[in-house]
Amino acid sequence: MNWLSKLDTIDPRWVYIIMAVSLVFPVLKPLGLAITIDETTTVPVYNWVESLQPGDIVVGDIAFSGGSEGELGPQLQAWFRHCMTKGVKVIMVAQWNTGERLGYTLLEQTAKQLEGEGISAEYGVDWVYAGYKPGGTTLWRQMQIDFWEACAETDMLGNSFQDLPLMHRFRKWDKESSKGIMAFVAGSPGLPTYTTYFPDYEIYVGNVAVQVPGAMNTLRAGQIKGLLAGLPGGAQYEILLDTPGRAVKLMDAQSMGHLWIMALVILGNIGYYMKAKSRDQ
Amino acid sequence: MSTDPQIWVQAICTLACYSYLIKENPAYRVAEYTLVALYTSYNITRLYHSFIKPYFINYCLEERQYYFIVMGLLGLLLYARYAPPQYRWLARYPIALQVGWGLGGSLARSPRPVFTQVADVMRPLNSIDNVVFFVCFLVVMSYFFFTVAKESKFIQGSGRIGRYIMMIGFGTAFGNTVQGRISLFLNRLTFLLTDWIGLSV
Repeated sequence: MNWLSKLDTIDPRWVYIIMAVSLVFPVLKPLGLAITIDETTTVPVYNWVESLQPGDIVVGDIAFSGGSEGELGPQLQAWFRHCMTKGVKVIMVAQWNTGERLGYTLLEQTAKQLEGEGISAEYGVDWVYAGYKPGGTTLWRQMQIDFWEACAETDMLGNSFQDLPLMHRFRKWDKESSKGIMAFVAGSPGLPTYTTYFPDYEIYVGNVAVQVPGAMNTLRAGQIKGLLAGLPGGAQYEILLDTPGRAVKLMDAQSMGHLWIMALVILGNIGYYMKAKSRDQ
Repeated sequence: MSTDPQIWVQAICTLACYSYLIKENPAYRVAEYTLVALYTSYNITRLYHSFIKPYFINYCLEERQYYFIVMGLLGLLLYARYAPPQYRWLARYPIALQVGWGLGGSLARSPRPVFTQVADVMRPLNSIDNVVFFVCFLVVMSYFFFTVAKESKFIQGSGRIGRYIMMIGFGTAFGNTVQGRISLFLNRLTFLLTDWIGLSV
């Protein structure tokens, strides 16, 4: 058995160490690798927001938690920035209670940055965070009939909808009051809530990379109109907005990590092949 | 280096979680149990303040819709499973209502997205993409033909090609999974490097 046949039994700790090095280095010293904009997934989301008029209302959904923040956080912040820059009003709901507060924190951070840049992002006027409400899809259906009642007329912070000017334009969640849905999803409940109960709406999705192959079917079938795919989706959106941020900075490391995984796949297969060959001899 | 105690707690918990890569250890377990406890307590508190309390005040007290109290009591029956054995059957009523309501809603609405995708399979063969898609669809389907004898050379051959196509699909899913996991690690890495250690990235 030569050294090549030992390649499929590399100690996992070496794999992790080399992976850590290949990720840390590009984070500290970016390599400036190219990022290609995906015309079929990312661009439709951007074009949708571009096509909206100031004052239009869209609904966003936080269906992820801290575990997926690395991928969906940059997407959410870039999309929210785009909406506020265009004067589009945003109402956020949360299908996941574990991500409710996290989503608010991310939006509040972006809103403060925008206010600092002189772009209006006032809570209650430009955006409202209804937050998580228990009841699952049943409640989401109720929101279509009477959004106020379904949410107990209260946002995540405990404010009454009566005191939030934007909510007076959004009594029920229908196609007239909202110009589309942007769902940031990491699992269940997630996208099926909208493809099942909001099939006639303009649905756009920010998805974790793991789920992208599964979501491509819905994109091809026209059930969703656009898709931000994982961290690259966020990076592409940031580039389209011309405001490179967190996602763009991390894409070099992402690529280096992938290269290392590809190298491992090749090395593992060589090891497997050589071991089988020496066994046959 | 950060002087914020919150950042230190986050950093220590992050490192405790990643210590699992070396082996199972007490630090990892402490982080794991803390997360579960935090999640439970946070969930209960949030639900009370953002939903139960406003619902009770807005609808039961102000609008006098007292049937919400009946629904609340019905929900409390779920805890009857912890009561003495002769009362445990009471927990079945809220569960029966939930299951009945859920099934009814699902049966009415769930087929539509599935049939939308089935309909999407029937595309005109007017582009290379669509032809490739249609051929792949047929050979993958043939892999799952159990009503035709496997002795058929044609079914064997197309089923084998179908299997390779599925493997390409699984490879795509694996690649995306790796990408997702790296993204999550990068998020923690930048936190440790910038927020905790204080490097400018």
